[in-house]
Amino acid sequence: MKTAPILLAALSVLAGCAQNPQNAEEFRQYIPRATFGAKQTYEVERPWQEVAKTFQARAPECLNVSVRTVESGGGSYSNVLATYKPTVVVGASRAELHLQRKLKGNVIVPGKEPEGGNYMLVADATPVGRGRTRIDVYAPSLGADTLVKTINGWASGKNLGCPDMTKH
Amino acid sequence: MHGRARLAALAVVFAAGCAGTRPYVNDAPANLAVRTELDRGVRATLGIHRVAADCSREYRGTVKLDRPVIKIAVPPDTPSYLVVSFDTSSFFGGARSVSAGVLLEPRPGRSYEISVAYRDSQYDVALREAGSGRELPRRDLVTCGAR
Repeated sequence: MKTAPILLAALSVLAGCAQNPQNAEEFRQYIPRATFGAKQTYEVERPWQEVAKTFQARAPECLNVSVRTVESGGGSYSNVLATYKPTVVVGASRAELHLQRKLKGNVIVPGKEPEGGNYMLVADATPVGRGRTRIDVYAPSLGADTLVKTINGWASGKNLGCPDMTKH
Repeated sequence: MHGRARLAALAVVFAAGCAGTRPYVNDAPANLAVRTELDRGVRATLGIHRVAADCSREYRGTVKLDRPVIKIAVPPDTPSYLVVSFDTSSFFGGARSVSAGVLLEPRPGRSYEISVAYRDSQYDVALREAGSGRELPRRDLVTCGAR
């Protein structure tokens, strides 16, 4: 139960300190200068088209989920439904994976929320030649470890498992 | 989120769960081997649903995946919808479960293997045709009838 509050706190800070990113590009610009944001860049030895196919295959299956969190104790009660929305965009020379999260229930989401929910993660795969691909992952620096690890596994092709989203 | 003690319940909804569970019984020769690898403290079950021609499903029972390999029989002549549920509940963490469903359309005379894994907060369910080792494309129930 440690990561969920941390992630919520991090996302709240991300969301509360400034206007919420309204699209993937704004999220890319925002994360590197956010207090609890981190951009990770590395290369994998796979053609970017293969990475794109993995994103297309795995994201809908693993990330198109809803998580309900019910908490009670100390005289308080909360019931929050988090609905995740993955989007994979494949262009002429880049594949993008976006993940948004919309919270409903006993929760206050500060700022203007884009359709589909606030951005939680963006991963870009771009070719760097000779069957290699550069991966850029933009995500909160706290509480999104499993999700980022999963994206890294998909990018490298070494682990195609799904993240347990109840841990986020 | 609060720092004080709490009870928490979380559930990821991939497929509608069934109201109650009962042990799965099928005395036919086994044609599905379930290979399970779980982190310590994680429990897993396999729910078997028979899928009718109109893609409706009928719950047939649940198998506890409490051994590394379990062999069961699924109907060889009709599709089955297999729902793997991972339970990561704990006293302090509250009730948590995550499920993944996969559609098995058996070919006559063939047997199958399903690999079930939960490691380090990541899970995977992979279906293969035994013998050939060919991994079958993972298909959800929503693809039923789409052919």
